[in-house]
Amino acid sequence: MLNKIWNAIKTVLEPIGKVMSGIVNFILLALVYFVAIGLVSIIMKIFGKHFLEIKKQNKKSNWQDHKVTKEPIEKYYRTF
Amino acid sequence: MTNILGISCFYHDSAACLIKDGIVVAAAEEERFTRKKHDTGFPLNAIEYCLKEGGITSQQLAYIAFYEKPLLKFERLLSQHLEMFPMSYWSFYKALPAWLNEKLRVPSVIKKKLKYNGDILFIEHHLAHAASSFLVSPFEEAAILTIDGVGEWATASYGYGKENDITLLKELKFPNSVGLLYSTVTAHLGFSVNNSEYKIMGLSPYGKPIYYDKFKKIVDVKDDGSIEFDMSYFDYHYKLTMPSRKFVEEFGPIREPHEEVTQKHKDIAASLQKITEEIIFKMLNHLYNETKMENLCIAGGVALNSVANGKITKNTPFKNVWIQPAASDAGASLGAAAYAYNTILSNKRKYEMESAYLGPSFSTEYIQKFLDDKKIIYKKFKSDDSLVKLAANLIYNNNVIGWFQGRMEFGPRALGARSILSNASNPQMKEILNTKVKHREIFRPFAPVISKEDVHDYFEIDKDEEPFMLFVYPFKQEKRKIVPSVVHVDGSGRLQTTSEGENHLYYRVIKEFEKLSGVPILVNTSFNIRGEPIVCTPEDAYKCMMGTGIDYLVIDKFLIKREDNPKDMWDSEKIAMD
Repeated sequence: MLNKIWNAIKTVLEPIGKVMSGIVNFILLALVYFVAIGLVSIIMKIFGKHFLEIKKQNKKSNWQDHKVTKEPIEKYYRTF
Repeated sequence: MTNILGISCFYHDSAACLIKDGIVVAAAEEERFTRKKHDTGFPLNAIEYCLKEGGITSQQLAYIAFYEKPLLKFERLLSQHLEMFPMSYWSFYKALPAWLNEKLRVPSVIKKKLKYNGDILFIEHHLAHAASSFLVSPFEEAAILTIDGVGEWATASYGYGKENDITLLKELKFPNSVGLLYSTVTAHLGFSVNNSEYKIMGLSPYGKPIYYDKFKKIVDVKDDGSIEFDMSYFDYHYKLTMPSRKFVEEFGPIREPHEEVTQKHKDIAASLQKITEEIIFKMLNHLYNETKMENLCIAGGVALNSVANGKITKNTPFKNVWIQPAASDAGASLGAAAYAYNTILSNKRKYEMESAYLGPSFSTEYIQKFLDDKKIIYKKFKSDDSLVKLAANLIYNNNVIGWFQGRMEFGPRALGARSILSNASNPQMKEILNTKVKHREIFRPFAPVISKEDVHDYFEIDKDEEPFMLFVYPFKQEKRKIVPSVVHVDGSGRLQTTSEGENHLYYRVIKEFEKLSGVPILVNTSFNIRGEPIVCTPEDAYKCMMGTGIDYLVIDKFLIKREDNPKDMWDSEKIAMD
């Protein structure tokens, strides 16, 4: 009996919970995006900094130096 | 005993691979277990299988090697949003939760899910690709090219390998990407990204490259094969969609999936394939000039472009080309593990990948118990001889056969372990297969499998074998009429060769079929229906047969006739999708 009541409550509350978490996510992520990302982006652009090469540079070659060779094992423990 | 587990996941084609003392003992994609095509989730099932196959637990692993550096990838993601603010909000909103929940917590996710307390090594994505090809190749030294959509920042890289060391020299960086160009056109032509790129390749021979000049406007291809995009034609650097409005103005409206494929779509596909090949060959010629090596290893999703692969030796100075069968991200699990064992731990290479049969197998007893438990009507063969004779006979009489033998393949191609086989000399077989089983687009070709010793009689090919079905070669003109169901519209075929030593039952069926028909070629297509991963277990195989028009299933020593058994509640028409 208790199980049935609990299941019924869960059935009702689950979709409400999902909607609420969606709203909270939306608000929090919007805050992070428009405040943190937005501010940094605007400030850096004022100083002429670009984070991606999306403007054509018309270089002779677009290969970029990135020499990768074997390194001490400790370097591979890093996630960066 | 040094056990190393390689893992790739969270983007597409999650997979795991186990290396024991330098020998690859198991590798599999997660999708085969979860039945979710291109599954991106943590590959727990694939890992469990690998550990079981290796007879070890996670506590007996010396290292786990992960196929990328997550923080570097996150840096690229942040850079995209910083650059494209405020237009990238939706993509930020959609992507960030997954990063916070899993992708930024890879070490803790691995340790928690596997109850593992050892060390985790993070290998750069393109280095893992490079290792997945070179370190298991037959070459002592080789030039290496990796090309895919995007890893952390790199979209392509090149370098060389010598013994157990790899040196990468240069890279192309996001957003300039051959893989993403191909995916953009895939999306524009109404097919699913990270899934249907190979369909565009199959579509391309039907068209003429009349849009090549338009592509040249978008992509600046330098003499050394590096590329620079006009990004106003693309949206993928800040949106969830790929072609921009300008791209649509140039090439016409995006095709809806249900719409007919027109000549214009075919011409766009042909033009894309032409510029892709131009880029690849220019990259390779540049790579040869830098390394002067005659052997070449390629990896990354673009390495699955078998049409371009088949033309490499004609268009570049390279003499020998090797591509690992799971060339895309799934194979990077193997690359990460091999790099850890051979390069980081400085162990000599002692494994050459001659077979893709690295997945699960099922014993005769297991299969018989499954058949008995499910009350499936079957016939048991007394010998291999009777099995191959009957299978060849059924194929010769135009039956479609589900072929389930031994260990499952690693990689996207069915290579005679989980295959559907049929009569290549029947001109109607393509239609029969499409009606009975595959439900796929009519423009897509079916692939041939041929006995190794006969390959030069049928194909204009510059090597003696192609066991992994990664190269397209032209059929000899005079042979095209003999096997019409596996000859593509341009006279080519994406062949697989096989031999007694590689897969004896598979080979013997081909030779037995040759005795009946005079042709040592069968149609070999993957054992699945459209939208489903290739079958893994006997149950998957049985379900697939019962839900489709496959006439017989040859599974281990057993023969099952579909008509002898009650049809399950499994409607392939409902399941079939893109």
